[in-house]
Formats: sequence, structure tokens, C-alpha cells
Amino acid sequence: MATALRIVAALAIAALILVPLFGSEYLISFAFTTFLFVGMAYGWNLISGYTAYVSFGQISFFGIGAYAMAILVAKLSWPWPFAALAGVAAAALLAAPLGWAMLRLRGPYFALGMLGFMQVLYMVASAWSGLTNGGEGIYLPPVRSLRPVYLASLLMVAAGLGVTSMIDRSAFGLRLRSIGEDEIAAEAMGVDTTRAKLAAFVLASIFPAMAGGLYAYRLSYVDPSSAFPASYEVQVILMAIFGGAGTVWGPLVGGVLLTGVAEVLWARFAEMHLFLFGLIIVIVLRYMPEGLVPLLRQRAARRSGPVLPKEATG
Amino acid sequence: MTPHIFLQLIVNGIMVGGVYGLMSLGINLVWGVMGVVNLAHGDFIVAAGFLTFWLFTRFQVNPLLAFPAGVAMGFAIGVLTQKFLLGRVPQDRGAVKTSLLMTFGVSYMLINAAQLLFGNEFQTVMFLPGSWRMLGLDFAKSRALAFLVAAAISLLLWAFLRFTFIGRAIRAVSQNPEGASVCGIDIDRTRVVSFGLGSALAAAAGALLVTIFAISPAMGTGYTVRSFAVTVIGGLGSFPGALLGALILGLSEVFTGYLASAQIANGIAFLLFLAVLLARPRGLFGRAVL
Repeated sequence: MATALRIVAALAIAALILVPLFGSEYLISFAFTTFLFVGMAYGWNLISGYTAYVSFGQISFFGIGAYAMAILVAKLSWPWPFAALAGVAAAALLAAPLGWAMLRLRGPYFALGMLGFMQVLYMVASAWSGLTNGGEGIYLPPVRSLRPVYLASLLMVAAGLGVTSMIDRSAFGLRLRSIGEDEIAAEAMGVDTTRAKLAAFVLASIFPAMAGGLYAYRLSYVDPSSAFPASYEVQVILMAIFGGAGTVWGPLVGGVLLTGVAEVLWARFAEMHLFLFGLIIVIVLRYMPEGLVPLLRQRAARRSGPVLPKEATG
Repeated sequence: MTPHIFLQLIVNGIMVGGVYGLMSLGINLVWGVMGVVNLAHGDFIVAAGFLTFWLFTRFQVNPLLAFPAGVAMGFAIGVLTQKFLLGRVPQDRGAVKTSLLMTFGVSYMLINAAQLLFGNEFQTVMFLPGSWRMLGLDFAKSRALAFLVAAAISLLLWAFLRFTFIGRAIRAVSQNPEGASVCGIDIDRTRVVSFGLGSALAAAAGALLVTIFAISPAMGTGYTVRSFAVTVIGGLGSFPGALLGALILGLSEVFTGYLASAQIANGIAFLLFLAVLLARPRGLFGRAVL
């Protein structure tokens, strides 16, 4: 079983790396978009899936990544990979003090705080026209080939999956889960909750920042509304909870399945897709609150029958 | 800034603050009773604003006559949301998280529905132009009227919570759900009524706001943050706190709008919210919640 899985995984990775060599522009572009969302879903999952801190403002970091890319490439003519990394660094540097302030707040306070923070960044991006050109936006040089950014987005997904699976099995992951279960109890057990959740928050900011940078590079244009797209926030959260928040595979499964759905929705009901996303969020929470991955796992466990302890089977 | 402009800004800030107070009472009530913040609160505000706008432009209905319709719609949406969505969330440790996410979903359904019906443009209802002049200061008629209606409704709500059975039940559940339950109060029903009432208050504020500001479907989130900020500044569960918080926000926005720009004024709610939470988490008057 394990060997078969490994072979499948190796084949999948090989296929994904070969996509840019043989795939059509459309396929590459579709896969690129999918990976951006999967990566962001992994980011959201780290802070809001494992702990109880639901953030509705992760798109703030997306905007920082997007503006870092635009300013560094268009105004200072940096090569794009450095600009993307600089965006990530900027987001992480901002996330540290922001997390220090915000993570003292729980439940609705944290949720609304992050929502408000995103609005403040939007306001700053609109008002500070010396840096961002305000509402006019910044134009980047047009992209000649999608292949390099495609590989970067693939790398981001691999990082998301790798980091999450490491955390999931580590003591750090256990600390995060204990914060999600009952923060006061976790503290009483000696967990340094402030440190754990701050680390998760900073780590979680990296993914949307990277995605924002790559997105801006691909779009060749950044203005406040494309840098802080509220609809992406909805989509990312939906993907994480649909796949299964607080699981290793959830963001990947949810992201891949729903980007496909989003593509269809976008093509057929472009005007209504936000409504449908909202509706799916509500339906998922109502009927499948754990998400798809835990549900499938339970089904599989039930099919293979009750697992008896070794002593009992003798 | 001349003393005259200073006084004029204070008048404007107080009038806006009155409406902000009304909209924050809804979030305060729901939060107190259920421990949940409705992220679609601002979208209920905008929805009622658009209903008022639609009735006014399409059928020339006076906004004061349309007002009850907006409030009734808000109450109905709230009752349905609580009955079929939030009320079905299992009350375990994940309840707050699930409820927040759920109202987030509802929020985007409403934003998109408003966009489909009314487009993305800013709309307003200009039914009472001009202003009254008193003591050398201008009282814009529409703002003054909105302030008076908001104040009257806030007073009615206070009386309702104080003197009626349902009102007392709501307060009892927000203070101690187990105790209230032991005394024979139907908690689920009280929650449905509270959520409906909270949404009705949002709708009332929205129907007034559209007569003094231009609104667009995407503005709902901003009003959710404002309502929440007012509640945080004043303190959860405190009536005078909510009104004082609303005045502080209204005045800050008006002064920032005058001294800097309207764009920057939009971010003030968040900054006040953060400052109060870091310095005094229970707000100016509220009970400890953190």
C-alpha cells in the first residue's frame, strides 16, 4: 500500500514538473491559478485550521506580496524571483508585530481585527500614491512565458504540503492543536501559547505573500482592488474548510477540486460566483463541518471494519 | 480650524454617531446573547439601505414609510439565519469558529445579491435636501432626522429590554444562559428573537444611513467593522457605552475626514478598535470579556 502510494506520488510530481514542457498555455495557466489558491489555503490552514484563530484578513499579506513585486520590478527593475522573496520577507516582518498585537485577541476580536487590518492596508495602498500610484496602479513588464512562475507556484504548494505534514506530526503541531482545543488548558499545561501561535501566524503569512507576488507578476498590473481581492479570501477559506481545516491533505484536495468548480462557475455564472461560494461555505459548514478529507478517512476506517487491539486478536 | 468649523464638525459627528450607535446596538445584542459576531451585520445594513433606495427611486415611497419594511425584512432575514443556520451549529468548542465562518458565507451571498440587483455604483436617497440653521450652525435636515429616529429607536430598545418579558429574557440569557434556562426561559427561542432583533436594528440603521451617505454593495464589511469597533470601544453589553463609543467614532471620522481625507477616515474605526483593545480590553463601560 505504502509503496504503491509512493509510486503514484512520484508519478504525479513528475507529471506536474513536465506540464510546462508539453502542456498548452491554458493548462499551465489553469494549473498556476490552482496552485496559488492551494498555497494560500495551506497558509490559512496553518493559523486558522490548527488553532481557533479564524483570520478573514490573510489577503492583507497577498496585497503586500503583490505590491512588493510591482514596486521592486517596475520601479527598481529587480528580477522577479528576488522581488517575490522580498515580498515574503516584508509580509513576515509585518506579521510578527501584527501577530503580537492581534493574537492577544480571541474569537470574534481576532476575526474582526484581521478584517479591519485588511481595510486599513487597502486604504494605505489607495492613499499613499507616491509608493503605489494609488488608484492608477502600477504596470509591470508583460510576462513572456508562464513556465518559470508556474514552477514557483508548484514549489509553493510543495512547501505548503511539506511544512504542514511536518508540523502535523511534530510537537509544534500538537501545541497548535491544543490551542485550538482549549487555549487556557494548553497554557495551564505549560504550552507557551504566545510563541506557538505567533510562529504559526508568521509562517501562515508567507504563503499569501508569495501567491500575491506571483499573481501580480502574471497579471502585469497592480492596483488596490487587484492587490486585495476580497473574493480570493472567500475562495481560500472555502477551499480549506471544504477539504478539511486542520488536516495535511485538506487544502490540497479542497483547492484542486474547488478551483475546477470555480473555473466552471466563473465561465457560466461569472456574475454570481461570490454568491455561490458563500452558499457552498454555508452548506459545507452545515452538513460537512469537518471537511472532505476527515469524512473520507472515517468512511475508509468504517469499511475496513473495527480495529481491534493486538492482545484481543491474540 | 476656526471655532465655527470646529463646532460644526462636532454637530456633524454627533448626528452620524447617533446612527452608528443604532447599528452597533444590533451587534452588541447578538454578541451578548450568543457570543457570536455576525459578520454579515454590515451587509444587512446595506441591504436595507438598498431596499429603501429601490422603493424611493422606483415607486417614490417616502423613506420614512419604507422604514418599517426595511426593518421587517431585517428581522425576517435574521430569524431565518438563526433558525436554519446558526441555531444548527453544534454547541461545542468549535461553535464560535463555525458561526463566524457561516456568517462570513452569508455576508458574501448578500454582497453578491446586492451587486446583481443594484450594480456596483454608489447610491443614495436625497429626499430631504437643505438644512436648518440654529445658533449659527447648520443642521442638515436628513442627518438631523436620521439622528432623531436613531435616538428614538435606541430608547425604544432600551425600554423593550428593560420592561418586557422577552427583553428581560434576552438580558438574562446574555448574563447567564444556564441560570436563565433553569428559570424556564426557552434559550433557543430567545436566541432566534435576539438575532432577528439584531438584524432588524442593522436594517433600521441602513435605512437611515442611505439618506445621509451613498452606499454600495461592497461597503457592508466596513460597516461590520465599524459596528464592532463601537461595541468594543463602549464595552460589551453596555447601553451608555455603545452610545458613547458611537459618538467617539462618529466624531473621529468627521474630524479625520476634514483634516485628512475621507479615505483615511474609513480606517479610523479599526485604529480605535485596536487602541482600545490593547489598552482596555473590556471597553470603557463593559464587562470583562477577554
